[in-house]
Amino acid sequence: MSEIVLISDNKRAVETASRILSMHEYGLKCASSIEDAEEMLNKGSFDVILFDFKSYNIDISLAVRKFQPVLKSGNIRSILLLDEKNINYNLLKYADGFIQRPFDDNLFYAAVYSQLQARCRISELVKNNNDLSKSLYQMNVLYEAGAQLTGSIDKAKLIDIMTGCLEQSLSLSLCYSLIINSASDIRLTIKSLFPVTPGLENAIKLRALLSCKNLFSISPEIKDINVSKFSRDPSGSFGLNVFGYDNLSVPVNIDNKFYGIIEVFRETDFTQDDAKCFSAAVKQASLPLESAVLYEDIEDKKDKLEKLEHVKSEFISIVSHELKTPLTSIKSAIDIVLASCAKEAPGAAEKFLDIAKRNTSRLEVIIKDLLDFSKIEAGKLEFKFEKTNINLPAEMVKNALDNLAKERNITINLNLASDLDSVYIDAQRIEQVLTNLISNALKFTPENGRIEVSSSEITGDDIRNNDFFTGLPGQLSGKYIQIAVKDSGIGIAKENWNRVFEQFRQIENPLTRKAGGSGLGLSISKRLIDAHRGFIWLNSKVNEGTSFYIAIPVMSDREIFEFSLEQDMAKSKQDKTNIALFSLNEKIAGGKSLTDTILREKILRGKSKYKDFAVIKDNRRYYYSYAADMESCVYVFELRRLETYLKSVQEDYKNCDIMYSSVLYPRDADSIEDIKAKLNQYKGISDEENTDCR
Amino acid sequence: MKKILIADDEADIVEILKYVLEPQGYECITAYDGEEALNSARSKQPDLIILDVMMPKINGYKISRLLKFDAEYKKIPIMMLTARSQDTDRAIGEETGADVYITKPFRIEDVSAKVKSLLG
Repeated sequence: MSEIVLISDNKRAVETASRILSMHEYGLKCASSIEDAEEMLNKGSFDVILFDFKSYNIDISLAVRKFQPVLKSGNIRSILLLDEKNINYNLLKYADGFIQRPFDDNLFYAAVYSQLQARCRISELVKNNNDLSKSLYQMNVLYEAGAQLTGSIDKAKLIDIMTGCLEQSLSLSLCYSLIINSASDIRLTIKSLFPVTPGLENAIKLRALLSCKNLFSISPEIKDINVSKFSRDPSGSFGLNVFGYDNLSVPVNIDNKFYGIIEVFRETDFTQDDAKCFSAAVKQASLPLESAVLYEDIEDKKDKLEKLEHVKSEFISIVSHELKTPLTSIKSAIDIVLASCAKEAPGAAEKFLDIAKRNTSRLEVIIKDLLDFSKIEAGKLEFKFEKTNINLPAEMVKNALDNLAKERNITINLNLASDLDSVYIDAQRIEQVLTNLISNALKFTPENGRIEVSSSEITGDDIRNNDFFTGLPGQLSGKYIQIAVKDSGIGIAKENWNRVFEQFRQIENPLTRKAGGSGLGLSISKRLIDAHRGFIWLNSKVNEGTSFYIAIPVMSDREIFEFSLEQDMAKSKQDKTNIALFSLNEKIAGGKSLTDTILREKILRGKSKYKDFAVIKDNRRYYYSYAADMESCVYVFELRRLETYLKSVQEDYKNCDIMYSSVLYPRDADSIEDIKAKLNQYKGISDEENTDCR
Repeated sequence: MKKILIADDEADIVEILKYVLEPQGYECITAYDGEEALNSARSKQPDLIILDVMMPKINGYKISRLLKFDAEYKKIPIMMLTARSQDTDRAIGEETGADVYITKPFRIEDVSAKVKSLLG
């Protein structure tokens, strides 16, 4: 309802005004003195003030001038009730309107009404003006933020600029951003008006994590979050009540990858415009953020490339030295023999040819190591696994190196356990590893020393609890066969233990190297042992000696099967040949022809664990096996033989029992008879549900 | 008789060089690592030092620099052997004061000729 004040002590005027205004349901209050009026204006808010110039004892001119500030600040309209005779024209400019005497009811009302309308309009204008100002301000903030955003390529800084922009343009109570760069790099930044209590801080952590729970590809923990807090005004504090404020939030998605979340809180509600401003700020930051992410990626690749360049040039210079050195000896030795001086001295020719021959072998070893190394790096190293007793390669290597050892009066003792389980190994490669270990032992052991080669059975825990290994994941269970090569040589300091397996380690600092060699031996050995799913480590005391250990797992037939399956699949991918895997379980066969069942088009992801099987694409069709249907009977064939085989065995094996088979290649089996025979070999080996995972 | 110090950790190369140079009338002293080489150079005062770059304990460059910046030994000519033939290595070689720089594999006639030119 509109409220009007009449400043007058003229009884007649008061009565008339009351009558007219109450007819239209306006509220009227009367002040009979300036003090009264002042008190009224202080206590309430009014729309219009009527100043009566025909008051007896009120100095209306004074009142009009006195109340100007109040009128202006409150947007209160003023009307002068004029005296018929004395019209103070000077004062007319202080008022918005005037009513002349004698009072006409309608005119009186009309005058008041029009002032009330004017007041409304002006109020609206003021509000619009305020809104516009605010929008303009927000735009300016966004504009500045935009300028800043384009100047930065750092992701964290960009988010910071964006949240700063939001803080400024929306007068926020609190704003937080949770950004996840990796499992170990999670940052929560809280910017607020007042400092936050520890309770609120923890609540924010939880809230942020929960709201993004399903969007993370990693599972972060609250304790992994790094928190930074900023507050503007230390005089207050924010507690959990902040969650009762109005809020807006937005996920941080860069290039379709989810990085985190930003949420803002404000005590007063957010308007539509605020929400628009919020989205605008976020949108503005999105393109620079994509660039920042791309930049990070490029930086990373650049680092890798630089490292690679460095390794490459180091490789080239080191390798050329290691190759040229024995070549020098060979070439010069042969030159000497061919030159006349050698012919004069009888034993000389033999001596130098011997030097040449020895260095040729040395060169051969280095070149072979290099070739192995590059094959390993390219993933093209091939293995031939078989179940063997590990003592055999050990003996072979000992015999091969015995003479070399004797030259320096070093004895190699064999202490091989006699009842060891067989292991699934590529004997030649194990020989290679043992040759490497024993020749290293020879190299680093002074004359008259001792080398002992022993074999024994150990457990997974023995490996895990070793000094050498820190932080091996998971439980290692099962049996392992260990071979130890122990020497009485110069030893290796503990800080170097891990570096020993790095490539070129030995000649990493070529100007202080101790003995020749390719520097690749142990690195290659490690890869070879890794390929056997084994472990290699050492123990050593400087000046007392070093022991190197390798441990190969003892695999059950089931594990051997999975292992070789993995290898075959990897190989087929390399060679781009085709392998099909399928089951002859009757559930699959039931009703339909095996060929039909298998020849349906499906694509499955390949995994090396038992339950899922791979489908390798044939140029024309896909073959598959349903893990769910499959029990344990699996055959592996080269694809071109598959159809033939399938047609032929359909009858024979449709009532197949649970049977476990190892890998059969066509080259192992040239006829169906062969295949049947091989299958019979494995018949009766039961399928166990619990496999150890290595 | 002129003395030549042959320093190289490759025993075969030392033997080859010795076999070639001794009949030419030079007395050959040998050293198989950097420390030995430096000590021999200082104590035995050879007329020529044939030095391999890559040696354990102290490398050839360092030895060359140490000797060349020492008034007492700087007159002894130094022949550096190395497998690295990159230009930078050559530059380092020349910068450290080696008089002659030979890359491996070398021809023994070349070595003989260069020794002769350095020692007369």
